[in-house]
Amino acid sequence: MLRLGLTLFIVTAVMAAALSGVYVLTKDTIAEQEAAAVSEAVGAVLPEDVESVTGYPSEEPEYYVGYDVAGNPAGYAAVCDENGYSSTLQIMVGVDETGVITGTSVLYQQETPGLGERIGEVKAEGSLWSAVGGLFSGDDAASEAGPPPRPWFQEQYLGCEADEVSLGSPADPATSTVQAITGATITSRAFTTAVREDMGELLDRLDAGELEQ
Amino acid sequence: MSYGVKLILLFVGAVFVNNFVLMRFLGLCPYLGVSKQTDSAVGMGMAVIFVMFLASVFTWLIYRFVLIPLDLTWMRTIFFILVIASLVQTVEIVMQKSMPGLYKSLGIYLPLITTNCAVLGLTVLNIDKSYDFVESLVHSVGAGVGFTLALVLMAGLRERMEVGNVPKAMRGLPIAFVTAGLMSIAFLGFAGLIPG
Amino acid sequence: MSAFKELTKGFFKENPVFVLALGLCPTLAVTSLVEKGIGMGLAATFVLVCSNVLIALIRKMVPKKIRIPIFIVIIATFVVIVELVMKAYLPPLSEALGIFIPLIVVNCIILGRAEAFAQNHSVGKSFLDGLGMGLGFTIALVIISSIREIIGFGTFLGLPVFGEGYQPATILILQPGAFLTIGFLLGFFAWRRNRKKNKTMPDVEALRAQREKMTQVTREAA
Repeated sequence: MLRLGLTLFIVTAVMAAALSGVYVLTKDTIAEQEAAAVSEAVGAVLPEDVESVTGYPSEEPEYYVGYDVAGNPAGYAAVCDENGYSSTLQIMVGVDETGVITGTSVLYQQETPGLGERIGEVKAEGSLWSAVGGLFSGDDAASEAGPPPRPWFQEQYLGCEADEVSLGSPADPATSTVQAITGATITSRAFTTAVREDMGELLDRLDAGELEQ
Repeated sequence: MSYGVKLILLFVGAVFVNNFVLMRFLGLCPYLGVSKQTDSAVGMGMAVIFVMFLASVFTWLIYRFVLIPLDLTWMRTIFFILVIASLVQTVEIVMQKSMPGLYKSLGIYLPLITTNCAVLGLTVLNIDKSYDFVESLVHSVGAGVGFTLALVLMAGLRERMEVGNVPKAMRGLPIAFVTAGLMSIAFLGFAGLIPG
Repeated sequence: MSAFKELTKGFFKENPVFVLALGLCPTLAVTSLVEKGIGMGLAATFVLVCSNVLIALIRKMVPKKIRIPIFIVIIATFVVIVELVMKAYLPPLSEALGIFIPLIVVNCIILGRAEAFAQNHSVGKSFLDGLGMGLGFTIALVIISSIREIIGFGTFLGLPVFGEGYQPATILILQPGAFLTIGFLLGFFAWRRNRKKNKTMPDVEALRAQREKMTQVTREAA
């Protein structure tokens, strides 16, 4: 009995030691990856002339202010959320200093695959066949570097007024309307509502001077 | 939304919208293994509800008061599986001694549950969704009831299927999967009922 | 059995998913996209190979009575290693697979191979067995996810297969699609077996019985 217990104990101890080793090795990388995910989203949605970013992660909503070279606020980013069809959408939304949307990025969603999930769908370049053809002919299409393309649904938001954006047809930045995804009206509406209400509220409060910037 | 309403929604969500078997694909082995007769399906379901409840209690407390203070949250998988294994073992011994009647009806299903991914999955989900203690318990009972519901419905269908004229190659597991697929379509109708 | 056969038996003849019907939960849950299927398959293969080798290595020192807890601890350790490494270097995949990474612990293929093979075979053979079974699992996941992704999304590894006009059958991406696909695939494999019954196919009933016995042993030990 004692021998059994001892054997079990030794195995567990050895395994735990090995695990701690792996944990120590990966700990920093995991923390970096998590931090990078947010800062990457912030960087992607803010206007291009932003040089430095200050974050206020504990505010409600969580927001980030981007400053230009001269140190003036050039844009804001905020985490907006709204109940979608089967999950709560979390979206990082960026605007310039006048409240025009400069970018969006989905942080979290568990919408129906093939329907609501398409808010993050990117139009693929080429097709399987051209990629396979590329493998044989030697010219690698994937190696052409460039900024990753924006999802086509979110692209509609660019240039819209954040506090006025709504669903409509046809999509038009001048009237701040975007077109819903076929078969996923609820998700599309939730995305729009999240942007309009949470971002609108942030802009109002910034105007009123309630928040630091 | 008040806390009570939240709990009710969580329960209904766990039973129908995020049904463990049909929507989350957890606990498929017992689902297909013990669904040949309604009686055993009910017994298995009860045993699962019981173990899920206890497992939620213990893993939540251990996570909150042992793993978080010691900064060992990354080792939760090991802790949880050991907790569940020893829990099932203890429950079996205790039940055998003090509740022979209950043991007779549920006992044979208990060991099957150790390697049931629904229980481990539930405890991990409780943590991932950062439920508080009461929410974890409600979620665990809801998940167990959802599992039982799917299991009993399936058993009813399979009893009828015994006399059905199923193509030879499809008999047994294949037709059970197709049936589960059709049930899953029905449960898909609940999706979107409760977000989250 | 030759080393080559030890490796390849898991691919089709004793395929853990299609023939032994093991490891079904991840098989259904992560096969909506080929990318996820491959990720899951390789993660499970890693755990399977490592645990098989380690268990074969210490097989003479492990007392029979407590072998199952020891196996579980060993398997869980490798699963946590996979969890950590994936989180550090492949965060999107780790997020896509979600709770099914920690759930590799209760994947019956892994404990099953430890119990049925590694604990009474040499290190080399256990390595080949683990690799073969793991790749067999991966092959099964790739077959299922290819069917689901191509029909349900119209893409393969994210690249469109059909022209613009293709309307994807979304149902195959959703949960019912998983059940239906694997149901018909199992039916197909059963049909093939029935046709070849008198030839060289292994006796599936015997294999299933062996699996039942394994579960029985696990049950007793647990």
